[in-house]
Amino acid sequence: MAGQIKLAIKHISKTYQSERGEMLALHDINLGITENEFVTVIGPSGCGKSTLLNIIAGLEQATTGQIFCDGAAVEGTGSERGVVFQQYALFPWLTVRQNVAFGLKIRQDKSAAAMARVARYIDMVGLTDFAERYPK
Amino acid sequence: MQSELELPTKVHKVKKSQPTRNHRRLKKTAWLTLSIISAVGIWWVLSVIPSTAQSFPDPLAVAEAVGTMLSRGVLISDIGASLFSVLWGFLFGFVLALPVAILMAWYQPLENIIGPWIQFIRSIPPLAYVPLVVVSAGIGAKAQIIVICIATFLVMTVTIYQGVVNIDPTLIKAARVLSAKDRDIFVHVIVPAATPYIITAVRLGATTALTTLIAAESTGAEAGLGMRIQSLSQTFDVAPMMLYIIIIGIIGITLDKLIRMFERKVTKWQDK
Repeated sequence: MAGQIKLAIKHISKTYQSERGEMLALHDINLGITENEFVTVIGPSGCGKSTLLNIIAGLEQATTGQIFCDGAAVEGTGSERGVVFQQYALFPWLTVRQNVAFGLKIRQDKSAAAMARVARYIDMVGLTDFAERYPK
Repeated sequence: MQSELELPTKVHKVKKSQPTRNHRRLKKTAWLTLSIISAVGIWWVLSVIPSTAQSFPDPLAVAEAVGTMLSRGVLISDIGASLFSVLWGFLFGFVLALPVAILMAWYQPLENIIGPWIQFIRSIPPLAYVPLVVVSAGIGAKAQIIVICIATFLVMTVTIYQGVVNIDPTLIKAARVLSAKDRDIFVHVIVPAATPYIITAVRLGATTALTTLIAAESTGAEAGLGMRIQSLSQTFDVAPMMLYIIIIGIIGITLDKLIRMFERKVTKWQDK
């Protein structure tokens, strides 16, 4: 079942520069991920998994190579490549509702439809009664 | 059979009962009264013991000094002049410190260039560079405000810088992957995250402004708490001196309390 390639990772290499010299983290990574495909990257600690994910997300720049999403080359971060972080990425000065709606706020979407979506997701995880609470 | 995990369907707010809240206020006032009485008591003892009696005029004499200084027509103008210098010096210091600190935290090269100089000047007590300022700015309020501005700027820049630098990078990354641009990150992440540190900087700045006051007014002010203390010291008029020292302390506590009130409004998300 070969679907359309949604995310194309082509010839990604990453070299880190430090006082101790150069460190090759990734060398010529090529990967094609199709729509609705679920991919798990596993490997020992320090093998470059986070580096690759950061590059895909746009949080880091690859030394060589390109990432294509839906055929278009990606520059930097974008909400089409969302990330769930290892640590809690909760804004402590925002309520639960405001945290969930953060992405919408950045896009200046205050429509009723947007707020309804926020409410739906909050309800999905059973936090409706806590929506106005702070993460602490 | 699997047991179902039940999430609470209703949240009951536990309201602190009225008597308990008033109880706490009463207790706090009681403790405060006890504290003040003890302090005055110790003060009175110190004013009687021969070895410290010279430095500590008895409380009654100090209370009388209020009348004396009022009749000399200087008490109000001294307080006014000092507050003027303190507030303006602090304000200028803050208005400069905030952008400088944030830019330094955002652009490492800037920190590399400016950072060492901030540490360098911080190590110099204001009293040492006060004459330098007076030579250019002349005697009077302008020189005082400049000196207080420098001292508070240095302290607040360092504190705010630390605050911005300590912002959890995960929060910035989270904002980035949600399509936030640099400006969005500044407004929606940096400012709210740094606010507690900025408030701390403001508190430190206020304290620094007050303690620098004496040095600033030694430039030859016409009026002011620091200046008056110096002139009174020349005549060894200890009672009014002590009064002025206490007034400076009271101003300090009042400013701090005001800042804390503001802090509670702005950072209600922190559990303190």
